[in-house]
Amino acid sequence: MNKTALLTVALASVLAAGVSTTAAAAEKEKCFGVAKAGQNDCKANGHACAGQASKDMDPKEWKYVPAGTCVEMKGTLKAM
Amino acid sequence: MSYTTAITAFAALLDDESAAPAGLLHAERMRHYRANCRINRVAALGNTFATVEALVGEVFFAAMARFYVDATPATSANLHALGADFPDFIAGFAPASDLPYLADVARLDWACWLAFLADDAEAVPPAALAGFAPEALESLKLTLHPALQLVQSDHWPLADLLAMHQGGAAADINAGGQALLVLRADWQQIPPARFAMYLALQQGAPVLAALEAALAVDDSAPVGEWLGWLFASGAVTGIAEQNGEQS
Amino acid sequence: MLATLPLYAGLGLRAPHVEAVLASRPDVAWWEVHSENYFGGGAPLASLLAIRRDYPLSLHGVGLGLGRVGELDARHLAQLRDLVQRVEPAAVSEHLAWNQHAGRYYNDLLPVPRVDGVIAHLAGRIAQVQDVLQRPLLIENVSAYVGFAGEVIGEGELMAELHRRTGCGLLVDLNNFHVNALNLGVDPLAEIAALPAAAVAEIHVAGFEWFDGTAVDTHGAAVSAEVLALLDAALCQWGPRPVLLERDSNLGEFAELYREYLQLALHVERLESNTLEVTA
Repeated sequence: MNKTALLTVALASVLAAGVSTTAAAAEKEKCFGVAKAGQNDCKANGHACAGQASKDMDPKEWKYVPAGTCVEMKGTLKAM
Repeated sequence: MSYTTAITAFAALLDDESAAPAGLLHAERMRHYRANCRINRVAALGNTFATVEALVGEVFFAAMARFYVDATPATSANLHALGADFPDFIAGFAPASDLPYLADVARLDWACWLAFLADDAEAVPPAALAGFAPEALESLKLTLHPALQLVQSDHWPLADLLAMHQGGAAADINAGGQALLVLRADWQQIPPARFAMYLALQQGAPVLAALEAALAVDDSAPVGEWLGWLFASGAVTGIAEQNGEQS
Repeated sequence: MLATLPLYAGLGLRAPHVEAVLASRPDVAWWEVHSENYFGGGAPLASLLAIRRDYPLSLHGVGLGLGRVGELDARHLAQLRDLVQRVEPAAVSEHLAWNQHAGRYYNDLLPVPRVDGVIAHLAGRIAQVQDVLQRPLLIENVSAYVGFAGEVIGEGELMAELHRRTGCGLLVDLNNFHVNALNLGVDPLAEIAALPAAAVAEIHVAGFEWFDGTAVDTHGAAVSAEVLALLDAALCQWGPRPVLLERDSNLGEFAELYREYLQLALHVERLESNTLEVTA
């Protein structure tokens, strides 16, 4: 396609495009809802809301293994 | 003691528990503040990087986030604004090296977060191009909505991973690299040619150059349709001709 | 007018409850949210504007850090200004706290040392914020776990003086006075007595928890009997005021918090009708 033809098609496509009522790509489910945006609640009035408020977290020695959804996929991971 | 001296002494004890408790009463209780500062950031990161947290579990995540928080002074009082460099930290975090996809998933989480929280901006309707000749698109530049975020992994199926964490099927981690776009709370997987086109536009390339970037990846790419989608979705917030005139 | 909140009990609205509140529109006199959660746009701001259409709203900042040494964060202040313009709240408040020093942020509300220079420093910052927002700011006392040697003024006296110098309003957190009484031995009734009634535009009550011998202001428990007694004393002295119930941690279902709110609302209404009879 030459440049002029390409641009003609592109312009026509834009002018033919209606404005989507959702104004967003609604092909997939939500990334997250309104409840997601509340991190600043966690420090209101000088406290922490992580359950163990104000207690120190574990000391700096690494003793953790992944225990989330990655475990379901772990057996399938091939070396890069 | 002056005001500045007192704050400086307090800050020194927050940074280093062995600092001199100059003029501070009950200095042993400073650990509550150190813990609060740390836990507040760790909790916020868990919210922002929800897919990463789901992948590794809460305990592993909190421990990893703690290492990050301790290594990275906060750059904002707004917890929503923290975490931009967490993906890079994860990429270099030895205990996570068995999960080589984790850093790219963190980039995806950050993109979703930016898209979700971006400032509102007025969309330019498709009809705004009505007065233009096709040749004008050669030099026309678009401003894309800050709520449109692009993310791509060379190796890992980010769209499949995201779908999995929203109730979809378990992802095959070896399915190969994927690109996706996020617009507010919605997202979709896109082919590499579309990613290249939108990325070029986002970086300020004129429309023609962006279309050519897509066609260089896939010479049968429906670039007109993809351009139309941007306008139809309200993802274009400004158009500017080469001479700098904006609307 | 320092604030235009109704003289009834209000409730802190936290993100996990926003959808339930939008769906059920409960009978709550007014809501308060943390300003920073609504910096930016999209769904969070849209939901806040929807709530604002039906209820009076208070914007409560947790991140400006009025007490920090050096300039305030210009971007943060601009974001707050933009939010205030969008939402047109009935009250705007910030804490008497600092959160940044030598380029580094501390994501907590750190108490200001009430030593030489504190009044001029805070008065200047409050005046600056009021200039930018073009409205009065309410300033709130915070909880403290440590004290400073050589303090020159009490917290209540400091708030009164800042009001006198800047015209700002006062947001009196009774739980914080109580926590400071437990940790540092201050007398909460004396703090309350130091505050000019006309400047008190809002009251906060919440619960605290003990950790290793320190009373920590977690907002994670029911309001204590001691704090309710302080509320009775304060309303008796000041007359009817907007009273906010805050709950941040151990946040359960909305229905559970709503029951606690209704109890407080009833308590406040009874007190205030008594107060009105007394003062009438």
